[in-house]
Amino acid sequence: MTRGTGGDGRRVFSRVGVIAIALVAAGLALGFTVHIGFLALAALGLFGPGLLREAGVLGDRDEFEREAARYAGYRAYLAAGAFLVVMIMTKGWGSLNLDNDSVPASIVLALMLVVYLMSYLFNYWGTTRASFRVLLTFGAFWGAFVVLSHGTEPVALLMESLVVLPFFVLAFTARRWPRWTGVALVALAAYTLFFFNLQRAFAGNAGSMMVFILMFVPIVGTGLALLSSGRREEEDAAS
Amino acid sequence: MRGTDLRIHLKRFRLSAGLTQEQLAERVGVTRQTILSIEKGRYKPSIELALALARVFDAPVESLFELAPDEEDGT
Repeated sequence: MTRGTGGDGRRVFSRVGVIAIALVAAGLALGFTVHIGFLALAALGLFGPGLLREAGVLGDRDEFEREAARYAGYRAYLAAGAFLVVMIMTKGWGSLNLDNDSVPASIVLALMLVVYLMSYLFNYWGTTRASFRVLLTFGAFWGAFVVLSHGTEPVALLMESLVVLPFFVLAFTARRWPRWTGVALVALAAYTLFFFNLQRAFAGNAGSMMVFILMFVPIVGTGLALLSSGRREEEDAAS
Repeated sequence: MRGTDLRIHLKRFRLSAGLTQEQLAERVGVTRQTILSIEKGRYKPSIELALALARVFDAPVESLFELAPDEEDGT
């Protein structure tokens, strides 16, 4: 039940989180610019706290947070497992063996992390608040990407910014109209499939797979969570 | 057992005692988010935590957490 932090759990939790995020950011930045070995830092940030908790060394989470993490881990397992079976089937289509079943490890890792993080945040904050924050963050990241890509081209910057705008609008409508926002997000996710030709992901295109995981999965996941949450609220109100 | 069978009266007890979520969380050694999630019905606490919460209010645990009557047998 208790956090085992001498009554000051919140501060210790924040410290662990900050260190983990710093390690992940440094690991990714150095890993892709200096040497791939620096990805070890990112791994330390991503999995280090969990390993220490499992070993009983770190007791910074209470029972609710532990359950949210376990639930998120189970969902990540289901998503990664289902994805891998689909990839094994599509890559080996027409054959009767597993000789061609290779899938980039980074893709599977990204899928597991996205599903784990999304699930944990939705469990922890609740659907409405998590949707608001996820959509704002998503829009902010995409916006930053647009500015970095087209910062010197005003027309392109304006046009690309229009694509980001719906995420900020939907972040606010998620609180007031969760079901309609859910429908809009699922429709938006379907549109991204065609806009970015994400169907190529299922043909084994690694770039499309990564865009599919980083873009389609969060949008459709948030949309489905809002749809489900809106239906529950209506059922509760009717009962 | 379905997920909607539990009626939670924690918020009423907390407000009557004049405690904030933060203060209650500190008393039982969890985060404010955990208290919030219990009050909203998004999280069902362990027996240990439920008993600790009941102890804070000096009330039986079943007054904080109540099973809704079973519709099938009318109990």
